[in-house]
Amino acid sequence: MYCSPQGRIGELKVLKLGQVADAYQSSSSILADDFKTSPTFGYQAILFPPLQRRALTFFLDRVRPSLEAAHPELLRPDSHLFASSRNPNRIADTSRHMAKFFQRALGNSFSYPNSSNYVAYNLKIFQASTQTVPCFAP
Amino acid sequence: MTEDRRIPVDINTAVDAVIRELDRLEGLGKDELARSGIDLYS
Repeated sequence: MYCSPQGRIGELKVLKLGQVADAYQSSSSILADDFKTSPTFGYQAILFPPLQRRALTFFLDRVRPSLEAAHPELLRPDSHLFASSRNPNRIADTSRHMAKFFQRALGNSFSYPNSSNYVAYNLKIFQASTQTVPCFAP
Repeated sequence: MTEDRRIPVDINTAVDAVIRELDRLEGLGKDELARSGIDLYS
């Protein structure tokens, strides 16, 4: 049994639309299969606590439909969940959007200039938003 | 070496900011949401 509070939050941004259904069937995690050690380990959990579930539901219900209307190919299960509105074949630069949000919400002195800080910070946020720690057998 | 000027932010403060933003966005109508500038680009 492998229990981890980590769970590759950064992999959220590379999820495909078709993987979202799996997320809603789970109580606490999504299985990712697109990361550098996936050839060895196959799948790894991404934390999916209540606050993240709420944000993703809002995105799917209220934000993504406008992108889908402009780019019908985004209705395909293999389309990027967070596709760029300028080029749906590309993944949106979510780390930059997150940085801009927190700089606006918490002050311009707040910054994390690289992706590892983005991942670490979001992991802390998601951990803080739930007491659930995913446990799964590899 | 570049000086690290980041200021630690209490994690609960960050979580509260996310919750406040979701509260705000979920309360917007369709037109207001469209005008809110939510746009994912790369």
